[in-house]
Amino acid sequence: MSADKKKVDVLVIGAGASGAAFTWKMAKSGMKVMCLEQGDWLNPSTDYSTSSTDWEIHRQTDFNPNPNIRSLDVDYPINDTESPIAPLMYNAVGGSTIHWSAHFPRLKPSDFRVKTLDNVADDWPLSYFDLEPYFALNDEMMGVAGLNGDTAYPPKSPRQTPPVGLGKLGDKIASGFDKLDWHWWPSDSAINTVEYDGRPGCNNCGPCDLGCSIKAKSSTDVSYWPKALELGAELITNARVREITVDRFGKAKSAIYYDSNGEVREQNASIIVLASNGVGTPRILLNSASSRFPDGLANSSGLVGKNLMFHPYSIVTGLFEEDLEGHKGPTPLNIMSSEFYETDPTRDFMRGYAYQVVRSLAPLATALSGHVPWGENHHEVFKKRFNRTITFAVIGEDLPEIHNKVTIDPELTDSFGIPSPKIEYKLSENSRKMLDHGIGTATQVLKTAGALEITHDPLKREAGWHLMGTAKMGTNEDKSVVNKYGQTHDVDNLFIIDGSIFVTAGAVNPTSTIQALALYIADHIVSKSGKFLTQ
Amino acid sequence: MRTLSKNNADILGEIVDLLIPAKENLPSPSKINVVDHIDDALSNTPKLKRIFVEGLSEINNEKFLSLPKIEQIALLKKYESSNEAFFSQLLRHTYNAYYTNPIVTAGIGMTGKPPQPMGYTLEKGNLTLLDKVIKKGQIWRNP
Repeated sequence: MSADKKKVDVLVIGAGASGAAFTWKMAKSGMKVMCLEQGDWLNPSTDYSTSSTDWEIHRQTDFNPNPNIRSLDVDYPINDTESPIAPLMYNAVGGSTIHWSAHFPRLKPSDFRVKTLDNVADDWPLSYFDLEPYFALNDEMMGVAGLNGDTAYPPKSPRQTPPVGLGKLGDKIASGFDKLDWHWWPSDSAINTVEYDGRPGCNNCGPCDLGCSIKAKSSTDVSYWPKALELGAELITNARVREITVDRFGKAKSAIYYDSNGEVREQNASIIVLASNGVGTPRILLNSASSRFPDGLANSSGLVGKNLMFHPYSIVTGLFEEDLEGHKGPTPLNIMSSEFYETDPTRDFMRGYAYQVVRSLAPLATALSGHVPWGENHHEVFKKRFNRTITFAVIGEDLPEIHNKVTIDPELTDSFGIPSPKIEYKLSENSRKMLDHGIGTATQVLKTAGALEITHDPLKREAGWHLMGTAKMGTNEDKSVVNKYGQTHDVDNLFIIDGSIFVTAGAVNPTSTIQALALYIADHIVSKSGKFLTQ
Repeated sequence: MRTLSKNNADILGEIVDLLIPAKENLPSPSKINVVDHIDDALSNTPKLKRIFVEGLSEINNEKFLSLPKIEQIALLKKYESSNEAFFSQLLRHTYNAYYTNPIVTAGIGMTGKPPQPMGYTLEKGNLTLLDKVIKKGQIWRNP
């Protein structure tokens, strides 16, 4: 084993959404910070397929969001046979922001107080308003396209660029919301619509999930990382962390990782910070069991890996008569509605859901949708569907349940032999009722807007983009893994900053909140750095 | 052709033209090298190659090439339900090759070019429809 690098102040594991924001903040504060990233850099100009005619095939193969399908050497396989939702992620500098849709809503104030308001799950140990300055700072760093004044939120700082265009498709569905007098608003999106921060405006090419070759989409490899590196942060790529070690006092001492040659290395640090997502972080903690921590590191509560929350999605698609030019514009980004977001005691479920309006399927996806027959009628039916569909992604708030969990699979490993995670997840009755309600109301909007035919998928399998809750925050050491500053209760120089620490999930995409939390925790660590660095 | 035998390639050529018949400005798959693309896709995936070779040989046993078109279609319909593993891959790879061809993407009304670097022009949309939402005021729940 090599330990050829000097001890650093802060060692961050994972260079995705939270790791990038946190590392930048540490470097800006003058800390000696290093980040270990499992994957490599991608070159937006040459590594993305959207300039090739076969771009849609890459979505099925090497750029599939499911690591089990993509099966690249930098990925670790995940046993998801006991889950109706497949966990999705990307391993590279930028992490899953490489393939994300760039939806950038914040959790709402009520999301942090669900126990007090609705007597479900637990309150967060901090509020929306504690995070507000960090939301604003993060928006500035990432660059958010949007429209101020959304009535579903407290006032926000000015959006950096105007909202993504609605297009004909957005106008069509907005007319449905308007007739029903239901809430809708242009989505907050981490995409430049005009030049901002040295990156160009979006040219509305469509497939954000295949990576943005012009850097209009704010994946953290093009937003935070260049700034963090300029400030002196060190980033080691192709570094697969096997475990975190502890010293004789029970403090986190080092990370053991495999480098790009497969050689085992050790990096010592005063503070270790996990930013490896809601599946990767519990995997590392559980793989770091030792005689002192036999059930896994920081797991005296027994909650590491437990309470896994996805956002379960139902998909409702309406077919329209006219050509809506649905291939134009960032495919997933259009409108969000919060009409059914907050708890309503007259419904048969607690908490609520949002809709994301999604543009039409691309040509190949239209052909493969299951609605276009082969044979004599192929072209006729294709023509009636292509550019003429509007899809609602109904995103429900998944409440934490102890039996939904990440554990270590007894057999599965990555190519270096690091044990892989196993997911066990069941959709709750509350979530099912919530999604069924959402299917009904989404159908109502589509019909009101003039849809000729409406179909739905009650639970989308390839939809585990949001991985949360597996190392939850809390004040009670027996009922949580970290405190309000992401500091593990068991090991005071070990922190967690990714979606693992979410207490509840809200019903919106979590990245904006994950990054705001990472910046909030970074501020705390900087303010207490004297304590940690003398250890 | 790197993977399929000539006979299998001939059968596949006949099949893909039945799956997607030519129409107006949209060519038949055999005219735009769909069989070659499928052959390429099979070359790096032994499991997929086996599914195709076995499926095509099953069809060959029915003397597919000598059947009249109407019987060929009936046979394909039979295999669609009796050999779903093969047929679903056959459709996927036929569509993969066809709908990534610039002649086809131009023929369906797009530019015939990949999304980048040109992108598209997108209308901003009618934001006056937000007036009612704004008039209703705050809907977020203040805890």
